[in-house]
Amino acid sequence: MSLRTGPLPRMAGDLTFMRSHRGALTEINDKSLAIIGIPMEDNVGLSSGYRMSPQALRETSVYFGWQANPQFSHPVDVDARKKIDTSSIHDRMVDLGDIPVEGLGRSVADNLVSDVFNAVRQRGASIIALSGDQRSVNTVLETQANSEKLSFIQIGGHTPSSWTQGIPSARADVDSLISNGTLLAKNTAFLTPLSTSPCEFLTQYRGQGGQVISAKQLSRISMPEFREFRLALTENTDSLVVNLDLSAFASPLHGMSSKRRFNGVSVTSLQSVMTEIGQSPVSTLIVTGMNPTVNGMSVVKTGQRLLVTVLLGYIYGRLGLLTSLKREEN
Amino acid sequence: MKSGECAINLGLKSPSSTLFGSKSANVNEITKDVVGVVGMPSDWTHSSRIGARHGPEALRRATTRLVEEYLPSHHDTFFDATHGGEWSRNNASWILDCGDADIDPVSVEQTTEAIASMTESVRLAGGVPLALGGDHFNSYPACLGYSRALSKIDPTHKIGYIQIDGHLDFSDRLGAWGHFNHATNGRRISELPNIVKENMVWIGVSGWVDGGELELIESMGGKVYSSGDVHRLGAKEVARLALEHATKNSDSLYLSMDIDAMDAGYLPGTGSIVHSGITPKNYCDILDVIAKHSIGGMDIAEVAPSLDPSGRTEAISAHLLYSVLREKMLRPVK
Repeated sequence: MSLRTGPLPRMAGDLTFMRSHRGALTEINDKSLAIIGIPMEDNVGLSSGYRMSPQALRETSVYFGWQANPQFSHPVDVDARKKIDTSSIHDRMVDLGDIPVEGLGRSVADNLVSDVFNAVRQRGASIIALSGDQRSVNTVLETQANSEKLSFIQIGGHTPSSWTQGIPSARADVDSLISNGTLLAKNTAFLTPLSTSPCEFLTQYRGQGGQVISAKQLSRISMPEFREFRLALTENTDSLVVNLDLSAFASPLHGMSSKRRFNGVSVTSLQSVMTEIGQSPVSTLIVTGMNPTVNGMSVVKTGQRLLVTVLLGYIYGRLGLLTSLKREEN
Repeated sequence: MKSGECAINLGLKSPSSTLFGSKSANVNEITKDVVGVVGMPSDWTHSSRIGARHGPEALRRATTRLVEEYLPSHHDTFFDATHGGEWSRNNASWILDCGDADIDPVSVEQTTEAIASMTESVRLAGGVPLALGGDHFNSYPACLGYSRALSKIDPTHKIGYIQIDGHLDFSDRLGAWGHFNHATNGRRISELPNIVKENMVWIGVSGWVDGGELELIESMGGKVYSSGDVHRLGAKEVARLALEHATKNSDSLYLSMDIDAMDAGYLPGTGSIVHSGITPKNYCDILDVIAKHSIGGMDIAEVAPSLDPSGRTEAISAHLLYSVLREKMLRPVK
């Protein structure tokens, strides 16, 4: 069922992710893909503004709400030439809105995030969390690890840097979760991380079965190879949590992340990877790392376009509408 | 229409730029093979991020700076570091800036007629209309005038068409904007009587598109070369293939340049950004090949300077125009 039957101006109406329907917690079930905004950040210093990301991502996503627009036929990737039947999206994708963390202290905000994620996961729904910076990632992982055995993939962002010191950083990086056994290194991977890790971390992490794949390696990997990697990573776990950070892309493409890099992955490569990841039982995808308030960037909007483009492959994959973006030659 | 010519030559510059610092003129002053510039300062037919109504002004400003920088008046000859060779300025009157069409923001029909009447007049006089957008819808009235003129000159004349664009712009209608907006210009142009549908070619289309539109283009014999094709085959090879297809059964070529075919990382000042990976160099390579062929009429669209605080969008767009007009602008030094 289409959301509406007549044409509307593109930006009009209730702002939801990809024009999905706004729903309540009671509406979702194990077939649902729940959209949740977490407008939260470590808002100190010169780079504040990440908390505006959920709204910015929703604004850009409305361009791709084909399922809600009767004038469009069906989306197709111009290179892959695979038709996407979007008719089921309206029933399965539900925008639950933002978690009201504004003005709350950290622990209260974290508890609220935990409560919401517990409630959604109890209903079996898969989640796309539109978040601010990466501070929400640990909260989500700690919450879900209480009831599920997790595997974890981080795309972009830093690798943990406090591993060898044994001192969790102020931001409680993922390494603290590995150190305390919440996550097993062999069930985690860092894809296209920024090149800031000490060698000691990599040696110890890899020694315990953890994997680090550079942007260059990711661009060259075939999707059957990536599938093998993903299956091995998620073996003996209940679900996969993925953190997609804008810093996976080269900074000059967007200028909207405080994590600078010049060797990122291409949107084409990452969209293929995200489509493949979408084939697995991902419980939560957390989108982070975009600051739409960087001077001048509020009108440019390149970061949200990159992220939403990549998310499309994941969403179609997660909903079973697309298995790969590789074109089948006749 | 505007006229911005500075009459007294005391080294002062007109505050109102013209394209490449050319002479301002009325459309009735156009003569054979002269490029007639028509401004289309309208973005009322864009559905979201407006700002392209400042495009003609920005293009005139940026191309004037480009001439001052590349071809300073105190030099007679110039070395082209990109293409090689020594060149001199073409002092003949090869371009005239006819000012802007009268835009009616509440009447797409009147805007269409205002633009079309100017490009028609340019072509009827034997000139080459170059229309400056504006959002990409304005490409339709620009091509409409070109089409009408050719119908009058030769009812059997067939037009080939190349659209360099991140999008297909082949919708029949778009929401409240109806049939006339920046997502429908390609479709409306395909309906013109002397456009050969099977000669229509798109270059640089990226990512997710409407499957129905793609099927329709290919079923009518048109070609779509994606940004992926540009990376796989090379920009020049794609341009060669596109040119071959567009000119197969046609008598002249119309070129529509939407700057949003380029990756927004390079050029964010445009209404509908894509991440195509196409670089400004790729775009110029495509234009270098197409410019070798005679282009009967053209437009450039979606330059929205207010969406790019860095100002590089208008500078790159000016260079695109330089690429496509370089051979008219310069003469090789023997």
